[in-house]
Amino acid sequence: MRSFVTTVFAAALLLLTGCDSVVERTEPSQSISQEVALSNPDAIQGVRASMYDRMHTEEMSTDWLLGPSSLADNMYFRGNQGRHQDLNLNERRAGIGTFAYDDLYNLINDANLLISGLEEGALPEAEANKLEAEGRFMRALAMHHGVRIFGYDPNGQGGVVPPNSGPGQGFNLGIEIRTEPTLDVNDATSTPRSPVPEVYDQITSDLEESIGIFQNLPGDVKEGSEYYPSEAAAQALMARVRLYQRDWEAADSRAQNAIDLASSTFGSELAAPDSASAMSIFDERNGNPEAIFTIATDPNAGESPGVNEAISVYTTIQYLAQLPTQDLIDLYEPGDARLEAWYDPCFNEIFESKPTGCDGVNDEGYELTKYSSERAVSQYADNHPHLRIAEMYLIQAEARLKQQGVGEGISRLNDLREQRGASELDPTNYNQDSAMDEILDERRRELVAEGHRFFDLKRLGRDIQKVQGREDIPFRDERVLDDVPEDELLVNDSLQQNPGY
Amino acid sequence: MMKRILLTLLLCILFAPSAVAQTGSVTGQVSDAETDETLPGVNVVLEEIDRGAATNPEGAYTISDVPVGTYTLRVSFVGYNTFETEVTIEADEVVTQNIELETGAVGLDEVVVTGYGTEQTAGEVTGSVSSLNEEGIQDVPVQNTEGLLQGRVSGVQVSATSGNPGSGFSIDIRGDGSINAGSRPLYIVDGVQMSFDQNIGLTDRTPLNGIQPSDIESIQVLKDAAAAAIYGAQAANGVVLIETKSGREGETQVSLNFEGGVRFQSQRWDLMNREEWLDFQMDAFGEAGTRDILEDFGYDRDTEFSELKDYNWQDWLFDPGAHRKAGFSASGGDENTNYYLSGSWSQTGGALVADAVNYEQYNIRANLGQQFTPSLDVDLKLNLSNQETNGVCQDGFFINCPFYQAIGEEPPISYPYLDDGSYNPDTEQSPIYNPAVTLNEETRTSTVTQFVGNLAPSYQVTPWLTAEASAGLDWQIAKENDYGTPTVAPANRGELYRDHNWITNMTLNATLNASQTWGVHDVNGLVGTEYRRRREDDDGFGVIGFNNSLLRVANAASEAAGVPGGFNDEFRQLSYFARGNYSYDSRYIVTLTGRYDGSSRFGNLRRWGFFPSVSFGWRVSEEEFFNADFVDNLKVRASYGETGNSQIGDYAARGLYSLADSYDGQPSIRPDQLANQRLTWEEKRSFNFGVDYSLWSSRVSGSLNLYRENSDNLLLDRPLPASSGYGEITENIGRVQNQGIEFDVQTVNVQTEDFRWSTNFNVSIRQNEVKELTPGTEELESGFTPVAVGRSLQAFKLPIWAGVNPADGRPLYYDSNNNLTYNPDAADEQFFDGAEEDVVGGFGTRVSYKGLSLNAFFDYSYGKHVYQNALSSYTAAFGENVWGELRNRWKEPGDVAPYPRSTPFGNFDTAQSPGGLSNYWLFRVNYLRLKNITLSYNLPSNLADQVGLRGARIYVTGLNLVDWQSTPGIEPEASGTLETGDYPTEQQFNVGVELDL
Repeated sequence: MRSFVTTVFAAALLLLTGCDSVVERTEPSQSISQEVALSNPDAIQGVRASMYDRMHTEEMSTDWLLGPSSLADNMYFRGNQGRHQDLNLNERRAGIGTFAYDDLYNLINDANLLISGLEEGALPEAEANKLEAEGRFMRALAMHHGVRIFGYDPNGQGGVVPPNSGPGQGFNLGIEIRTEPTLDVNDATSTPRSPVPEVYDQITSDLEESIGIFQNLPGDVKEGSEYYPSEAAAQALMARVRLYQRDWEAADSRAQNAIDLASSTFGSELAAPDSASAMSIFDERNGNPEAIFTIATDPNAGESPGVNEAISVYTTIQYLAQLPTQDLIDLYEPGDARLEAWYDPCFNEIFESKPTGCDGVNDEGYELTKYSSERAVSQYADNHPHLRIAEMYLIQAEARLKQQGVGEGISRLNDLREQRGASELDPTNYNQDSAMDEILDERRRELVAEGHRFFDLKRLGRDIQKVQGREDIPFRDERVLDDVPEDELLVNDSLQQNPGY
Repeated sequence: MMKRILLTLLLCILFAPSAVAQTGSVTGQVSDAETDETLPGVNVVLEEIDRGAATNPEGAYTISDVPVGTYTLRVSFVGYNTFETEVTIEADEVVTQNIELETGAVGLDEVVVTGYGTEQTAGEVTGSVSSLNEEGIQDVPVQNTEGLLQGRVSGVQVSATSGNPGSGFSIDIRGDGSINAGSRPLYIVDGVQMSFDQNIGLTDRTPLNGIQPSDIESIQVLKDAAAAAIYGAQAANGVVLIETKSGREGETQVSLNFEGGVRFQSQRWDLMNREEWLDFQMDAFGEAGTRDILEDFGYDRDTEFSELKDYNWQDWLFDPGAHRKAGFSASGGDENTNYYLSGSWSQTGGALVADAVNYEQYNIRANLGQQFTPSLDVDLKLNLSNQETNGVCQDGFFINCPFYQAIGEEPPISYPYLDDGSYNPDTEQSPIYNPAVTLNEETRTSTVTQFVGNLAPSYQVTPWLTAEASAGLDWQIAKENDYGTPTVAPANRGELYRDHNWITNMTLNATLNASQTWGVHDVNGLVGTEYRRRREDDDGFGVIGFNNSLLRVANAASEAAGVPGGFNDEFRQLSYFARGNYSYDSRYIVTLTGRYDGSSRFGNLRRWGFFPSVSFGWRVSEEEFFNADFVDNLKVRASYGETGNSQIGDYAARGLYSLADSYDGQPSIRPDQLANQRLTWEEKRSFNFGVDYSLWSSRVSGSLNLYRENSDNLLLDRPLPASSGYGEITENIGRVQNQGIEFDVQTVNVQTEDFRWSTNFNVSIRQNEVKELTPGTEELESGFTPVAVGRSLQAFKLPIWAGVNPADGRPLYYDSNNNLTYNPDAADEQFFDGAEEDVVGGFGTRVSYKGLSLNAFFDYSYGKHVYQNALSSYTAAFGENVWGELRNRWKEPGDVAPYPRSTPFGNFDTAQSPGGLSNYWLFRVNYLRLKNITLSYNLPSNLADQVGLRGARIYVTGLNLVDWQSTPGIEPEASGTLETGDYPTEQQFNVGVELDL
């Protein structure tokens, strides 16, 4: 009996001892291995979704779109509302790049995975090519946003437009160029910042590649949707990039390509000249008539940055922290469809109450209603229009003004104004400078809170205009470039801080 | 002694074949040697065969059916020295052995459990182990087992993480030795390793809530590596062994317990009243600006100041709650079977208005032991518990947390209800953040059902060899329900969030225990193996659009709030271990342990690790040359050992691409974590030197320990360039050192027939220092609580306050050159002592005269610093309430004032406002607290007899009744490094009766 029990016990001990395999394999439920992620076709679709989902963070939506208006003269804070107040006050180190640094490069790494990180043959060739084209477009989009935040802009002659005085004099660095995916900790190397022209070369080469691939994609593989990059989107982004580069001819022709392709691909064209049509550009319930490239935000899938961070929370439906300035409202003439479509008296839709202090920012107490989460107010979800037809018209107006003169410039401006119910401008009232001012005003009227105002002033080497009694920020001021995050400088010893910080 | 060995050998030979046939009995009476009073409930055991009995009310015991042979009879009882003698059992005869016990305090002969069922006397133990036995546990009015350890065990720091009933605790043994991995000790209840990490967010809880303190027989805290290394990779933070009661052979004991009480908040923050507050606003904004504020609070701007409300929010918020409890227990057994059964129900309301906080608990326990054959017995211990908490947001700077919003944010001119009883819509924040709305319209409930069970067979292979096994299950099911009516959640028109979490945590082990004596050589040891598996399963969802508050289930909603969530994860651990213990002539003792652990959490290249320890003991008092008669026992011991900390994520070593939000209907899978195949446990190397002493017949006893612990290979996130797409990688790179001194003493000051007065005291002095971080890095985590080399883990780094400029009332700071500045920058910041306690401990006293006894216990803490984040925010003129001390602020040029001028929020840089970041807000948190006091009366037995009871006891007890503290707020205990409007410690007062049937 005793030896039997001893034997059983010894056997049980041995059984338990088993081998390594007992403790080797436990699998997480919310993650997969890198190997599977880059070879399994379904997983690769997840990596692709990740790249677009990077555009849903506060930094890549609210800060990207609204930030440049808050930094300059389009939007200003109400009462004690803290959201973007630091941007309105142009506090040091309070630009829109510091917190976006991670987001931008996370997106770029996702794009790099799609461009060159996938296992050979994991996808059918056409599908793999499409993902490469999308990756190149998104990489270009992110790099351009990064380089306009952290570096001075191209001067059209292979250099940059730095200030004549101040700490930024002679400074020409752009951002880190990362074109290879990080697959191993040894890939996470320190990279220096490249000069602005090199960054633009990388951006334009990505866009050219992207366009080439999109042109050769079989029809059944193409997305044909504003929510994904397309040849139209790549042409439109190229138009914007060429405008920043002061390559007027290319900007004009690329914008025209974008307009034509958007029309043939999505049926997009300038909205009809009434306020309902102007409103429909930002109303997700019926599709954007001017779409070229839009980031979709599903109100029911947790994609919105949420109650504290979404752009609609800032501007329209709850905190009403950022309101249009009287300076902006004054730019519209009576009858302009945009005034009626995009501005309403302040109202908090959540508490169904009228907040105080709106009339401290503009006389009528208006809010900007471009982003009003029509599909579900409580989910704070708006699509984010990154490229649309009206911007192409404005690019063309500016390019033609510079290249062909006042008449052509104003004429193209009038094409847009006509569709907005605004009066036709008489070219004879303008010289080159005042026509440029008019185009910039039109850009404010049309593109407020779509990611432009601060960068429009900066790329032209102008002072950053301020309102509400605040002094303009001189172009030579170090705050015209945002600071590289301090933490990054500690980790990446090849990185150089911007001048003045 | 030779004779004994021969007898033992003889027994070995004879015992096996004839065990069943030849038996006899032993009987006798146990009494107090001084008073001759008989002692009931004394534990009498025949050592070699683990058979025993408890004395009956007359002090008599009988152990029958004992196989023929010679045994060591061991008699132990709380408050007396253990008595041992040899008895020889003859066939069919009754041996009478009467015993007189000498009184003494808890002594070196007390039995200590050192893991895997091994019992050693305190005299044999060479590691650092602290024990809490029944005497230390009884009369303590806590609801939680962890709370028992608070202040009572030297070297163990326990703080409630919240003041609400049923809250959890943060605990560390000998300081925090980790930066990113967990610092919680391993808790083992009846052999089951408990799982502490439950994904539960609404309330703060601890799985030990399910274990009734009154069911506990003993708690052992294994503090140094020598004691804990047998638990290897899980032992670096120490091990707490909890054993619940078993029945004893003898008379059945049944008792009932009823208790009622009240829980209340007697303390208040010092905040401004209406006049003071208005004066403060006027200073900042002038009359026009102040009248703007009146409008925000729903007043007409021309309202006379004297017409404004002067509301005391704290008096409204703190409202006493009721406590009720009923319990029963029954225990007993015969020679083959023993049982302990108990059940209890308790319900405790927090001291908060609207019955917002309520904790209710049910417990059932069944502990059974059965001797199936003379060599096989099986113990079964089962515990079933249900805990339901209605809670509120407990801590944090959130406007929906009552302790922040109602106390600091709402000024005296604000008030919760309008005259018609409806909610005041014009409180400090939006209507939904009126604290009355938060408390009434949101229901946060969490329910935990918990099962802890263990089946432990033990087989006596030969008299010197036992095989034991244990199969334990810790099963926790948590259910959370967070419902908000449309009033509090207007955007969603009512909302409901639910979460379900299951933990299945299994411990299986088997050991072979051997013990043999040859003359002066005592050898014992064990070998064993263990497998642990823990699985967590979770799912949750939210729904919105109720439109009314009548029906509060999911299908009364009209739409989903996003995609439901869910996850499951698992870890497994396989281990082999051994311990050997050698004692020469009871003078020199050496113990070796080793454990080899493999864990699924670590990288392929470093999956297995070995954790050894060695310890020596020298019982000086046993030496011939030692002749100090007043010393009963004096033992010197030293130990070294290595243990591990594996409290990291289950998949921390893997390269992971993880789920994230979707895009256009496709869920994201994104780069999340780079692989580190070399990731392994944090290692702790500990030295301990100790002395145990017992003097004057154990009238004075205790121990002294010195330790130094180096925690190495600490898991740190090494930051990577963000342009890589990754933020960091986890590597084993840091080192932290803890060292300290622990001292405790127990004394029996007076002992007569009717009167006994005993005291106990313990103190630990501790120091913590970060020794190494990522190469080339002196500081991690920017901000004002960095981790820096040469500092303690919770050190602060802050600008230095230089007082108020008498000229303009602005706060001044010192810059790095000791010049005054208004705007200190990062270079001006300096390090300050951290949030670690420097000295902690407790002391208690117990006085009894006949049936009457008084038991008081104090705990104390010295040298902890806490940044008063909540208080510093109560300093700006912004419509919020203001700290009362700012009455003494700067008013006009020339004033030399301790506090700066009143400034409007937002118009100055933060550094210029009174609440700006500086060491000014770093407050030393010292406290001495009357943790509990109990007065009880045992009915004389003749009186009890008359009403048909064996005994009865009535008692009155108080919890946290008095404290002396150095901080201006309410809360000395719950906060960590930051005070952020935490749920404050509450006081409680109970009256109860215990009936022995």
